[in-house]
Amino acid sequence: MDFQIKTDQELVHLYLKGKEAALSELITRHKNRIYTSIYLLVKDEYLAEDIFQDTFIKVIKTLRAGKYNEEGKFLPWVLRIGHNLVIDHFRREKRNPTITNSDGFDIFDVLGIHDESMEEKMIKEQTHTDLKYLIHLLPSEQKEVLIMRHYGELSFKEIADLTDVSINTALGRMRYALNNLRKMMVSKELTLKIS
Amino acid sequence: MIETSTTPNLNFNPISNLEEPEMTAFSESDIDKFYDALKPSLNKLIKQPTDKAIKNILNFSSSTSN
Repeated sequence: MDFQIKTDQELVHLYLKGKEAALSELITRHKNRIYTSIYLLVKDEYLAEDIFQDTFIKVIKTLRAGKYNEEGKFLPWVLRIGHNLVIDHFRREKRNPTITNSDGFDIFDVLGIHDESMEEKMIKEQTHTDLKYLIHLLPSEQKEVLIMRHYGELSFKEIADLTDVSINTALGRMRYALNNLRKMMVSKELTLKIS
Repeated sequence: MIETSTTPNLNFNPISNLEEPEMTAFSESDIDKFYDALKPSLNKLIKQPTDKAIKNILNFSSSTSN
């Protein structure tokens, strides 16, 4: 059976009928969006990985309990679970603050970079690191919308439902996020000519 | 780290008024253009979970299936 051509909904049905490979396809299809959305909120790759796993364990349990709402889309639903687990984590952190290590912004694996001088490479890496830093400086509600819109590829209606605000508010937060990022980049003379 | 003339300076404080509605700073079309220009850079931030994490999930699923 070719799982790659199946819709998310069809894969969910197949999984509930015992086809484990359907779950594997769902994870493969959405793992980067879900993981990145979690990672950019918690800023720690090990913690993000734990929450990513917990998210799918909850997905599996909910599916098997027959509690998945067929009317909703699979990805927004999973992102909502991940988002709630991130909030749970921060609530626990607030109650029991601990000192944690950052993962050190090691994302710009230089693997894909060819024929560049060391200086160009370093500027590019630094700029990406700065961009991630600037995203983290955004107010949490603006950061959430930016992450859900860009990495989760959710519509503004889906974001509005997920964050319990109106569509206009979700849209406005995206605008504020972009506006603020631009202001910070302008003030720091960060260039976007880096891709 | 080697500083260059174009190396952005990380030593700055967050802008304090990020929550203020200052949408007049840039026009709508400016923001759209900015987002389009920003997308490739945002995409560079995409990360993926390890194979181990995925294996753990699949193991959990198969071990708890009826």
